[in-house]
Amino acid sequence: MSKRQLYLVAHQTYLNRFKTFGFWSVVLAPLLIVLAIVGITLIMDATQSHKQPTVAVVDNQPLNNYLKQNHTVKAKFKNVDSLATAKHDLKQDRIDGYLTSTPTSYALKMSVNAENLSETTLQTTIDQYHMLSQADKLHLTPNQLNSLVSKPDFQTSIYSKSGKSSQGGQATDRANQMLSAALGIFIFIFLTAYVGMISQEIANEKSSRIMEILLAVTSPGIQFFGKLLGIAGLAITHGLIYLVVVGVTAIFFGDNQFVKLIKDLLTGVDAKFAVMTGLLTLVGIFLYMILTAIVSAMVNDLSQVQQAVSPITYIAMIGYILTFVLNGQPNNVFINALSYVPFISQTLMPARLGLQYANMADAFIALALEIIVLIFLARYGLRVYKRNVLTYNDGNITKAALLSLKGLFSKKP
Amino acid sequence: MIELQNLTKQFGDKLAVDDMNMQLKPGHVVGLIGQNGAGKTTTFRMMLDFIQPTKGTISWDGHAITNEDRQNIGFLPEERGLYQKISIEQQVVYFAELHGMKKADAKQQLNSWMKKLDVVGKVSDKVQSLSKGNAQKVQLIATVIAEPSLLILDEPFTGLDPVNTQLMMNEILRLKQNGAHIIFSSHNMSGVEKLSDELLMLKHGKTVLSGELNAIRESFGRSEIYLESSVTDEQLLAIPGVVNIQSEGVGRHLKLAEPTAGKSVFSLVAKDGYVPVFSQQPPTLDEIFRREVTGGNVYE
Repeated sequence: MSKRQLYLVAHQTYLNRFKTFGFWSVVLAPLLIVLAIVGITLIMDATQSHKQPTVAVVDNQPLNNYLKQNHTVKAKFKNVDSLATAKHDLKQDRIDGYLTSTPTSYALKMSVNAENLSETTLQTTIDQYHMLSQADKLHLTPNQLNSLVSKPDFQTSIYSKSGKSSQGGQATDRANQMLSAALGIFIFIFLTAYVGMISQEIANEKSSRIMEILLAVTSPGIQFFGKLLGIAGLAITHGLIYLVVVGVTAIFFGDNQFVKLIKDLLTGVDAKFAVMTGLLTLVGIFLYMILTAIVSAMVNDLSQVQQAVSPITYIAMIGYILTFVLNGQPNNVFINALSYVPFISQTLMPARLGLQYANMADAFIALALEIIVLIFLARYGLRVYKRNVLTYNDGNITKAALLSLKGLFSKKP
Repeated sequence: MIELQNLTKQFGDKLAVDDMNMQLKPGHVVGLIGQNGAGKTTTFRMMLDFIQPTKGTISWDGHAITNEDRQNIGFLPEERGLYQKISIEQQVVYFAELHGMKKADAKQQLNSWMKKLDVVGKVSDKVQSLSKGNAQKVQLIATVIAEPSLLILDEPFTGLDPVNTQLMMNEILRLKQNGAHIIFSSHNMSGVEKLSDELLMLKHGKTVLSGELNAIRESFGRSEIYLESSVTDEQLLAIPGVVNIQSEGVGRHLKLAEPTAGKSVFSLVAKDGYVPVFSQQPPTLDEIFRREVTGGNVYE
């Protein structure tokens, strides 16, 4: 195989696609979506009313004082003499609500148009007030009170097959799960885009008969692997663009609340998990690219591309959907088995790994299976590609596919 | 030298090419003729390794065609194909580089080719903006720019106007003079006659004619006469061996059952000692083609 020709085909494929609107729309669309979400959130935040609600405390000066001094509840408090006054003030919109109390109960009544008040925070604050007032009635010293309310030390740790005891490692687990879920979405979008690109590239050259000119001077192997390398180069460029965007965002917008949130989440991701997920994803993408190249060689013209590549998209969707039903099903035999199956494992295995339903050994098996299938597909797929890329089957792709399967192990085209 | 030996291709029950033998010498042009479906394109596809022969071999200087050899093959397919959305320069340079040419050389050559073939447009123009004729010229440039040693042209004159046909012929002859092995198929018999040193005619995959063009024509005998004379058709048809007379321009075209009948015709038309035109010739290639296709019933 001529290395120079391989480089030329890869370079031409890369350059042709790099200049297209299609490639840049694939690259920019997710960034624009993220920007739109951030923008809308910022606009919502900016236009939100920050006015604090006013709450009347009915005939309970100590409680009123406690709430005022506490500052935990974002509201203005004022004491009123009677329930009637509170009701009157509420009717006149002078207050947003009122708080009544008995020795054992508290009740908050808010106007329907009232500014938002965190009930949870208010309840926590009232709980504390109630405890302190009870302690006071029982003449307890602060030490006695502390001793009474202090919680015993209680630690949880989860034993997983990975041998890792996630000591308080909820942050790590959550980060891994979120990363695998995000990867599931990312891989699916990525695959859909690049599956389309490869199929368009091959179908265009086949239907316009350019392929005949190219194969006269090169070989099917050079065309097959050259195109795959070119598209893989685009995918790597795509990834690098995102890395640059992430780097620039982290450096110049590090103080932004969204960036901080993501940073906090990612600090929990463990390195082994990230590397294994990356490898499974990378090999998975290569698998899909090769499969697409093989299938695309069967089409007769561009109108058949969608029909030919749809089944590939459906396969990619299986892994993607199963990641959502995985949670809470650590022993589901069907899902566990599928997580080793190439074409599905690239999303399902990282998700199981993130949830600690699988260990590194499982992931290695899935990766090894992916690599074996990749080698098999590259070797036998080239034969199928060679057989089909210059064959026109009266518009019948199914016939071409069946003939290809029949002759998969035959070297003669 | 490129040699096709006992080349056979069978598709299911159909024999597309049957035991073909051919030699393609440097600096020679071989014309491959035959009706549609005779096996011409199948032969090219086997030479290009697109399909494997059922039987037989193809060799270049005694060895099987390698990937390195392929860099020296220029192929013009019957159905033309160019990238519509990229510039002339980008794609011609790409094809030239695949043939082992340097980028800078290809760019330089392209400019002179554009002038030589009178392509209307700039090298930066996209192919989709070109007329059909200009796109065909670009296709030819892409095929020959790297000066390939083996040129395979499948119906090179299809869709070309007379001016462009002549341009194409001139380039084929130039490459021939430079020592290229050239094989082409065509239904344009006058083109085949002008270009070919040797001819191979296929009928349902079988080789029915093969050899040097003049030898093939002469093998049919000088059974045609072009005549300009005042002698009447009746007088001519009365001569034994004159089969058919057709008007052709200011003269007439006579078909003879045997070349020897020509003497009697000449005696008649020259009885007064002068005849403006008397030319006894072998059948034209077009005539031979039709005769072979119809199984000899060309006069019916």
